[in-house]
Amino acid sequence: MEIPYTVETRPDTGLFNAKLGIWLFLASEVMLFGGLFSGYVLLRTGAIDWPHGPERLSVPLAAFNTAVLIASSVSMVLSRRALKIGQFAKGRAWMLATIGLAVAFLGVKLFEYREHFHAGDVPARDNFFATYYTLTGVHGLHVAGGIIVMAYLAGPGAAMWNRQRVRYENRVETVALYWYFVDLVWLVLFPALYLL
Amino acid sequence: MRRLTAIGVAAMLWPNAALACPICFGASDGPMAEGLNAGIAVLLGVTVFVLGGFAAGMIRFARRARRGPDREQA
Repeated sequence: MEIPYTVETRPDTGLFNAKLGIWLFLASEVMLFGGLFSGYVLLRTGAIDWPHGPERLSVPLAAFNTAVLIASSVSMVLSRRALKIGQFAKGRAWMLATIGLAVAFLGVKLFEYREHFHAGDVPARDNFFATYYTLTGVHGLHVAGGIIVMAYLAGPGAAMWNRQRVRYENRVETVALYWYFVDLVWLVLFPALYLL
Repeated sequence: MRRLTAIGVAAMLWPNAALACPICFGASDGPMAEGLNAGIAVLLGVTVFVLGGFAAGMIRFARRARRGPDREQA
């Protein structure tokens, strides 16, 4: 038996299965990050003394990483657009560019972590670094997850383009939605942790 | 069982020792209580946002189903 609406949209909802699935997944992700952010607000507001982000963290590095992530969202949009008009090579090239930018983001993050660890700023130092590592660590894991999925779609998963083109486009679309969400989370984390 | 009963009886005799919140001890205007309120407000906001999104999605689906298929692209 064939599963319906894996490629075409369901008439009453206007969505294909994967798109509905990714929206539900993103709703659960909002709750996950919402819980973590709520814990951060609780600790920060409840603390008698809380250091300002720029005193402890590198704002230029984080600003660079923000630009990298925004650029990766743009390259993802360009990848989707190229695939939509049938330009597979171009679409894949933009997706590889997105992967490259995501790897660069993680590279900078690991460099930051290493500098902090060398300076003795480990998670156990205080609540500031405990929340910093938790929030950026969970976000970093999401970036790594996105890299794995995009690498699959640009690599072995790309064979689907020749067999089921629309389904492949749908997969890229769902990954793109996930990627925009990961970028959006960073746009909340950056000012909250680094600037305030 | 006896131990549990003893704990229960002790909790009834000395209720102050069994307070649910040992952090603020009733100080509702301290920084910890303020932090707790702010944390609850944030989480409540997130929950309302997600549930609002669900409700909006359901209303959209219902309207679309009433209107008939294929009038709108996903």
